[in-house]
Amino acid sequence: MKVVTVKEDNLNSPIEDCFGKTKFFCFIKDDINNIEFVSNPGNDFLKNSGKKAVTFLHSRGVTSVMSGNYGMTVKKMFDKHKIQTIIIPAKYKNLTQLLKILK
Amino acid sequence: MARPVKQRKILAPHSDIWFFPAGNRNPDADSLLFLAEEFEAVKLIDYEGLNHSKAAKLMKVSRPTFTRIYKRARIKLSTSLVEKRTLKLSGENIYYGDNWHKCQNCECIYNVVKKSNPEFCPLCKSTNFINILNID
Repeated sequence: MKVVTVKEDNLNSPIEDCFGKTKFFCFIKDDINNIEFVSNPGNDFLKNSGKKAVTFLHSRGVTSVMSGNYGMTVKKMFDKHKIQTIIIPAKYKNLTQLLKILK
Repeated sequence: MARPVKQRKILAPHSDIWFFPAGNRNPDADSLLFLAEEFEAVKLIDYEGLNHSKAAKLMKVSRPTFTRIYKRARIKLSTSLVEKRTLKLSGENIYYGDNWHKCQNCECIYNVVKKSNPEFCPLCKSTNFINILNID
């Protein structure tokens, strides 16, 4: 299962560049038509929001994460849980644009 | 002859390579070269909140060297802010602490979890990708 960090819970949402501070996660299950928006449980915390987000994604069985940037602690946790990290280039402005190239 | 400059370790590649100030009339003409090591130093100290010795260990340089890199970065950042100059990121003399690949088709950058070469890009499934150098 793949996850994209997004600012809003709809298809036109801009992609969030900072993993830990994202408001929503877009879960992409088997194909791009089967998606689900879930709010980030770490978003309410001022500290360690990234850690809480990684723990949440690991518990949901996520295999790869797509975002613009990852912090040092988050990256180490992803490596520990063997979750693939993908850096989305800035040319993809919103979720719809990203889903078009996602196969 | 002086000793060659040691390579700096960078956590992850950066997707954007230019920072344009909105008020600059001619952004290409007077750009400042912002080295990837300087970007990493500012990120580790100001964004991640680490101290100098911890950040120096992560970048595999001595603490005095790290302080010099950080000082140079702060001077370039302030010059860019005050003089409205463009910052151009340069990835010279660095290596990455992970096995990173860049897709030539969709331009995404991704790491490989298992220690084997990927067969295709995880986004567009293209086989046209390059391995970003990792000598750790």
